[in-house]
Amino acid sequence: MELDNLKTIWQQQGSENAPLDIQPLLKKNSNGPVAKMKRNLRHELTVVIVTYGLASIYFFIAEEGLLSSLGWVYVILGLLFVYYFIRKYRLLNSMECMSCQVKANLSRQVTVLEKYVRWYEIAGTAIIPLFAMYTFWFLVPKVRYMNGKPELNNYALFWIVGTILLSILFYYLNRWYVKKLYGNHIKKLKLMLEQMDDQ
Amino acid sequence: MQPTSNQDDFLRLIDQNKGAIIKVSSLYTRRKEEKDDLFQEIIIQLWKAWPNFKGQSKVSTWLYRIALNTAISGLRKKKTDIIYIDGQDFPHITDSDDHREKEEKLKSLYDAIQQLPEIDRAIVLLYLEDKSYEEMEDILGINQGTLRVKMNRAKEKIKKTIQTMAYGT
Repeated sequence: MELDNLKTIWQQQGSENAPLDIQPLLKKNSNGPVAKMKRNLRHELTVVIVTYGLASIYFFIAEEGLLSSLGWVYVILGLLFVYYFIRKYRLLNSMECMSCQVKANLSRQVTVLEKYVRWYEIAGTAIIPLFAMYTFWFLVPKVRYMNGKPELNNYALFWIVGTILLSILFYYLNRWYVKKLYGNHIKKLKLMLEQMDDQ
Repeated sequence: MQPTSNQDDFLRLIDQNKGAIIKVSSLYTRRKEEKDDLFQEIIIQLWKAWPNFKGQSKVSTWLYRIALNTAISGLRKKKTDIIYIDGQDFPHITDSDDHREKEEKLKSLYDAIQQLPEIDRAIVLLYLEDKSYEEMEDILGINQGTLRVKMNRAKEKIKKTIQTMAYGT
């Protein structure tokens, strides 16, 4: 059976399997990958704003303001998170061009998704020194001071070594996680782009 | 929310092109619920893009670009089990006396095309929809020379697959 002979049959197909009423579909949200990623990002941002906001308020108020420096640390970390989310959101916004040619859209998705993944890796690794700085330079000394305990010896060395080791560990963990999340999809997109050029 | 007349125009456009959207949905999915989801997603994407459609390209080019982009680049879960579509899951033949025989052929055709890689499926779809190579290039972004080579190869593969399904050889 030649394909050209089947063309007529193909073109005789009806559209009776389509939903009769399209209008309700227009009110629905997209379930596409980028829309889902945006929704997740918005949820994460809400969680960060609420938890960091509450934590900073607590530290500004608690112990008659003695811990306010910790409150500021939470404000700064929260702002860094907001910047991180905005950057990711912008990348997601530029990831799709649905009315572009299929090849251009795929190519754009690969480029932006790779940037997104790099940003994920960098931010995921950079968070460790930030939290280590918070824990070792603000939280632990403050708690020790409030409990009347003396300062620790060789503290800086311990902090540096600990931070480096944790950063390395988290870099690889993060890479593994990001690859698990997006690796197969990027591979699939690249394969399709190769198929397009392949004769 | 877009103005109602705009919405009416859009609904009219969808009504005229439902068949094309169903064909794309049927070629890129195997299960009924996946097909319905993809159909719905294509409508949503078309509706999102509708305000920016200024007629720079033909309506059909615009529609196929969005439908195929939605179908091809969607991050749907990979189904490794092969499920052959049954008579309920693909568009039916209309206005035909020998419709049963034709539907059998159509089913074989769908099965054969679904075994092709995603990009080849899009090329075959556009070919069957009688699109010129120029319009196919405009939709897919693949140059016409490559499209012709791919199309010839896809024709051979489809022929072989249908023969194998029919005669088991």
